[in-house]
Formats: sequence, C-alpha cells, structure tokens
Amino acid sequence: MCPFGTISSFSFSLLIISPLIYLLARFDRRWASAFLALASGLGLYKLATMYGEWGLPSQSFEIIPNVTISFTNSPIQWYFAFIGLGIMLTIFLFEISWLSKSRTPSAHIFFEAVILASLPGFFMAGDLMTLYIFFELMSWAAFFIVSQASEKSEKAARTFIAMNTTGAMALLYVLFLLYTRFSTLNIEELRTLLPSAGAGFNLIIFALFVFSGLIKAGSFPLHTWLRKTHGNAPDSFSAVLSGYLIKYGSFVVAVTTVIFPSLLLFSNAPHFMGLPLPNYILAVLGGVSIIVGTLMAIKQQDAKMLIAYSSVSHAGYIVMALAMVSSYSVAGGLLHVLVHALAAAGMFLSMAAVKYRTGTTNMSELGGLVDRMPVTFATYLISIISTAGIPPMVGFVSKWLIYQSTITGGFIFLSFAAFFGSIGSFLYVFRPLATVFFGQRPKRLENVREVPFIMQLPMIIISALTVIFGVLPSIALKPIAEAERYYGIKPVSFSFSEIRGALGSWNSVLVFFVFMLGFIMAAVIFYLARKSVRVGLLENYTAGEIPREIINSPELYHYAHNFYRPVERLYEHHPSLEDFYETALGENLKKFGVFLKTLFYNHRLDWYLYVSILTILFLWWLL
Amino acid sequence: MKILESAAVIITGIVFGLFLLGVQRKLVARVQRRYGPPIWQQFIDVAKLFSKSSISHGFVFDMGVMMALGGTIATLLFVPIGKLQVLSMSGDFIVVVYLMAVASLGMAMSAVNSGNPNASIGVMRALTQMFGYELPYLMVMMGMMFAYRTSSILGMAQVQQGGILNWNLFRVPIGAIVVFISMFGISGKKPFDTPIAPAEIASGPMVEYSGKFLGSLTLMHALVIFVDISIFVNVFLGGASNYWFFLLKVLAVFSLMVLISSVIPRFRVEQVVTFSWKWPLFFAVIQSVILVAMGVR
Repeated sequence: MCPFGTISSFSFSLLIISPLIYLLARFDRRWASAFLALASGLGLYKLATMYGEWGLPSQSFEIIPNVTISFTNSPIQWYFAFIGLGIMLTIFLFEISWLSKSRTPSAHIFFEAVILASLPGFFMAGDLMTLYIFFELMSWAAFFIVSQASEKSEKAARTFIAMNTTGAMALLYVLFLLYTRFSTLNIEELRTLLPSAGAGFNLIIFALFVFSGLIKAGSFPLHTWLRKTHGNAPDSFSAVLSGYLIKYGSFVVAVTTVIFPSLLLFSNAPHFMGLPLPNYILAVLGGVSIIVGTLMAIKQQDAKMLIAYSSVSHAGYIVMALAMVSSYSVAGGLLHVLVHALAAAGMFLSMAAVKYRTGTTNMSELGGLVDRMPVTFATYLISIISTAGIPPMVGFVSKWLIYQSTITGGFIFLSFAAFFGSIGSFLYVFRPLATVFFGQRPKRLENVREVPFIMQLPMIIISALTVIFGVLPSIALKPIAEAERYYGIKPVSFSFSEIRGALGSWNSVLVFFVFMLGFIMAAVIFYLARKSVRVGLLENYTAGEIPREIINSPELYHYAHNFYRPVERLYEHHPSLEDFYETALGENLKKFGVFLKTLFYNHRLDWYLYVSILTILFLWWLL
Repeated sequence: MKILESAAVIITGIVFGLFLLGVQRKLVARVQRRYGPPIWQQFIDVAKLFSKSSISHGFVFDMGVMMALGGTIATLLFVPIGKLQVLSMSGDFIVVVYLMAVASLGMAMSAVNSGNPNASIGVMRALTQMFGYELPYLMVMMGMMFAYRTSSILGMAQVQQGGILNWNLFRVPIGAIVVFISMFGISGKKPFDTPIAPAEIASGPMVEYSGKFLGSLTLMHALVIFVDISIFVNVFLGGASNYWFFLLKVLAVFSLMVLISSVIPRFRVEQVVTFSWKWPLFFAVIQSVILVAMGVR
C-alpha cells in the first residue's frame, strides 16, 4: 500500500465514519472512546512505518487548477503528527472513564473524532490549501467542544473562534497572494520559488504567516484567548488544547521560519547580531510571551488557568527557538514541542482527575490530596519538574539546547527572557502542588479516592515518557536531527547518552545516575538513623496553642489563597492586553456591528430613501 | 580511583561545610561581642540530631528530605575542588544550577507536606526571592559563557591561570560583585533570609523538622554553601591547583559574606525582588552587554 494513501485514507475515512462514532457513543460512550484510542494507535503505527520515507510524490486530487489536496511526508511534519497522535491516544484512554462527567458525551466524542481526523491531514499537508482546510476543520470542531462545558464556556468558545478565524483569514490571504504570484501552493515548490520573490513580498508573507501562527500557538501579543478557553473547556479537552492544538500554531511558525528558508529569504535585510531583523523581532515576541505568560501564571487562582498561562510562556519558548533558526535552537524548539505536549497533557490530565473527584480546580478550595490521589500527584510532580526544566526530565534538555543558542548568539534579551521563564516557572508550578496536593485537607475531601485505573493509565504513560526522554533524549533527537538535515540546517550532534552543545556537552545518563547515587546515599543516611514517628497533618507547631477552629475546619489552616501576594503586588496595576482587545477592539467592533444591523434591520424605510438619494447624487456627481 | 575521589569530595563537602557553619557562628558572635560556641559545635549538633527521635508527616515528607540531600550530593560531584575533579569534565554550569534546583524542590515539597502554613509561607518567600536573585546571577553567567565560549566551570577556572590579574574578579569586576550579592540569596544570608525569618514565621520551611530530618537538612545547607562558594571561587577567583589553597579561598569568601551579613537587617520579601531587579540586574545586564560587545567576532 502506498504510504501516503494511508494518511489520506486515515483522515478521510475517520471523517466519513465520525457520524457512526456519534451513534456508537449514543449507544455506549466508553466503546466510542476506546475505538478512537484504537484508531489513533493504528495511526501511530502507520506513521512509525513511514519513518525515513521522506518526500515521496504524494497522492493528490485537484480541486481547482494547480490547487490540490495532497499529503507529503517530511521529518518535521512526521514529528509533529507523531506527537499529536500520541497525545490523542492518551486522551482517548483517559476519556473512556472521564466522559461520564461530560455534559454532552456523544457530541464531545464526535467532534474529537473530527479533530483526530484533521490532525494527520494538517501536519502531513503537502500544500497550503490542505493545511488551511484542516486548520479550519480543527478550529470548527474545537469550537463546539469548548462551548459544551458550561454556560461560561460559551463566551470562551466565542473568543476562541473569533481569534482563530482571524488567524485563518490571514492564512487564506497568504494563500491568495502566493497563488496569484506562483500559481502553486505546493510547500516543496514554494520552498524553491520563494527566494526568487522580492524581500518586500516575502516580508508580507512572513508577517501574515506569523500572525496566524501566533494566534494559534497562543503566543504574545495574541495569546488572550488561551486563559478563557483552556480554563473553561471540558477538563480532558484542555489537555488536547494545550498539549496539542496550540502546536498547530507552532507548526505554522516552523513552516514560516524553518521549512521556508527564512534566513535565506531575508539575507539582504538588516541584521541584528547575525540574525535577520524579521526573525529577531519574532524571537523577541516569543521572549515577551515567555515573560507575560510567566507573570500572569503566577497570579492565577484557578489551576487550569494557571496552566493555560504556562502554555503561553512555553509557546513563547517554541516561537523564540524556531525564529532563531540555528542548529541548537531548532533542535531545542522542536524538542520543546514534545516537552510541552507531554507536560501540558500531564498537568491538565491530573487537574482533570482532581476535578473528576472533587468538582473544582480552584486552588484555595482544595488541599492535602497527596495521600488520597498518589498517582495523580506523581503525574503532576513529574510534569512540573519537566515544565520547570529541571534534570533528569526532558524539559531540561530542550531548555539547555535553547540556552546554547541564545548564549552563543549573544542575545541578551532573549537569554534574559529564557532565564526569566525558567525561574518564574518554579514559582507558578509549585503553587498547585502546594495548595492542591499538600497542606491541610478540608473535611469534605476526607473520602476522596484515586481515579479509576483506566484514567491512571494515560497519566502513567505520560510520566514514564517524560522520564525516559529525559534520561535518553537521543531517542527524541533522532527525528529532530533528521529534520534539520532535511532542511539544510546543521544537525545537532549527539550520541546515545551525550549531547554536544556549542558551550560544552552534557551527559544525560551520567547526570541521572549521579543523581540516583546521591539519592541512594541520602536514603542510606536517612534510614540508618532512628525510625521516625508518623503523625497526622494537624499535629503541627502552633506556637503552643491549638485553636479549636483549626481542628473543626482544617482548611482555615491552609495557606492557599493569594499564594504569591508579595510578587503580585509588584505588578498589580499592569495594563491588560485582554481588556484592551475586549474594550478597544471588541466594543468598537460591536458598535460597528450594531451600526450595520441598523442599516439592514431598520424598519424606518426613509433610511433607505436617504441612502439611495445620496448614492444617486454621488454617482451623478462622479459621472 | 573515581570512587575514592568521589568519597573524598563528599567528605570534604560535608566536613568543610559544617566547619564553615561553625566559623559563621563564631564570627557572628564576635561581631556581636559575644564569646560564641566552639567552632566544632555544628558537628556536635548534627551528631546529636541524628541520634534523636523525630516525627514524620508522611511519605513525601521523608522523600523530599532525601531528594534535597541527594540532589546536593550529586551537584557537589560536578564541581571541581582544586585538583579533585571527579565529574567536573562534564560539569556544565547550567546543569549544576538546575541540579541544585532538584534539591530545593525536594526540600520545598517536604516542608509544605507538613501541613504547617508557616512552612508554605516560607517556601513561597524562598521561591519569590529566588526569582529576584537568580536572574542577575544567570545574566552575568550568560555574558561569561558567551565571552569564554564554554559553560564548563572547570573551563572557566582554567582560562584564568597565570597571575592574580587574570582572575575574573578583576577582568569582570561588575559581574563578580553581582554574583557575590546573589550568593547571599542562594545561601540564605541576611539581608536575603526572609524564608527562615524565625521571629516572623517560626523558621519557615524548617518549622516541622526534628531529629534526623533537621540533621539531613543541616548537612544539605552546609553542602549548598560549599557548592555555591566553590562555583564562585572557580569562576571568579581562578580556581586553585592546590586542594588546601582552594579551601582557603572558600573560607575567605565565606568569612567576608558572614561579616557583611551580620551587620545588615533583613529585607521584606518583595523588597528582595525590587532590590534585585533594580540594582544587581541592572549591573548584570550592563556587564553582559560589555562582555558581548567585546566578544563579538
């Protein structure tokens, strides 16, 4: 069978049978979810067999002359699609049990089937038209899923679709521009044709691509939809949104900077520290995104919104790394796609598990769940260690690679932003850990149990992968180096256990084993000493007196509300981009809309008379 | 051979770290015109703590303490100590800084798991002030890594050989001062001791520890101080070819820190951040701009 036939048939057959999946879900939602898990597993298997068969002529059919629906296989596309299907697989496993909490399980699973179908189609697209179609399909399906969660989420879904449609329109406009100029939309052909176009044209293409990419990736200054959408989406779907759908934007950025050779296109543009100015500006936007995401994440009260802003920060890392287009930065950026996919899925799934049992993700209403939900806690812990970029998890590897690039390039602001996000992430990831899993447990959470095994399984898979890739990043770097070679960037140099950077090398296996050695030594010292007595959470030092209120309601003795108040106070009165878009843009747009509405739905017919007379007068004067 | 060397490094770290803490108590006492405890008091204290009974608040409470001590022991092996260079060939500065973070995370987790709000507040303060002092530190190191094209701590020590004037203390003076200030934060010295603040939050993260827990964390604290100052000595004071000479340099830097911190009052927690981002960060950025401007080829 032709390998590309499998991708198109996977997408289209899944689209065609999605109504059947809806019916199956009406019958029994667990079977539908299991079926989709199986389908994504099958897709993963197909993709795995396609590794190495790059760039073969693709199966395609024409819709208008020279515009086709076609699929191709290149290392970057393969890499993105593979991660996407993997994340979807874990989510579907999770949903087998989680769907009982969904308000509309059948519709949820139906739209997720559509998203699953759009995924390989988008990432393996051979031309921009295919890319655009699947992009729209995904936005449309995601819109309906987001709107299902609660009353509040309808507004969130509207923000989501408004911004995503704007991005899609920008993409469509690029398509028109490119088609009128080159009369082709094939990505491989455009790669060779674009350098012949002028710098001005390329700049417009670049800007529009970046505009739509930043919206989808949730990067500054177009990140504002992320908080509402991720915070109010159905819990398991937040993991899809953050773990995977915002990577659609990262992919668009990768197309703009890496697949279209941006360094070559702007070789005559002014340079800053050896980087063309458009690329540098994009990298700076990524850097600002890191800082904004970090600061906003620190002040969130709701765990899901906190993770949403951490996604803004991580999208910033990816955009910044991909914009620099050096050997280390592209490797770091692509690896960070994997890192954030795993970490965000892990964090959101553990929060979904918490909500599944307790009904809330508001951090100040929770506490002390570590004894009750150990697997959920372990998943969250491993994911945040990766998010914060601490070895031996995979998050450290990608940040290390990105630092190699920012430091050797001498980019002071970009290094600053990268460090800022890294240290700031210690703050915000620790907050849910301290307030949800540790501290005093409110009385009403006394009987909370761990989630069923089928929900633990995906969390265990994600945690295991985070550790495995952290100890042996060479597994993940192999396709990345392949991608770099394919697009003419010097591939990053690594061996089984060692990665060689510009500033030095680091041996992941060695660091892991030395850490384990230190841990074992500490444990030996610890266990040789006298055994300790286990006491309850309420047997605390309280300066000699135990107030009765604490025993009756332990949550009073739990430091969770306004956790980072001293830091927040420093930027309390910051300008909000979200408010700006809502008031300055949103309100004015609404006024404009109302004005248009009065034109069409006005019952006072004299309006039409005035307008017609004015038009006739105007035409008479003109002609 | 490597095993013997590792053992030597770990024993050096623990013994000399505890010795430093003893020196600290003595110095502070002398500044305050007291006699002070004997210099080996800290050894007695740790031995006593390990022999006493203790209370535990659960599995994470235990594991976090082991993670904290284990993480620092692991970090120590990557730092060159004079000629003792166990794993310093792969002693990448970025790796070392982040390995230290594992230890801090372990301790923070364990402390918060005790369920005492004082511990949570202490950890919050520790993380907050870390946000302050780490940034200038890393910005200076960014400039240094750019200028020397290496992130290896040993590599940076080696480029400074041949005379005192080759030391980065004189080549990169602004950066050296900034890193010196940041080290007060890393080792929790006044004015950066908001997380402990005994009078306000009952020693913060330490509030629930007793017996071997407190003993392990004292060892960790001693090791953190030793690792921290060793990095400074290697990067700014030219390292040392002689083991004893290296320890002497560490002692000198530490004594200076103790003398300064013993006459300074404590910052309020957000003052740490505003101060760090106002002055040290400003000078750190200036220093790295200078280094980058000089180093561009």
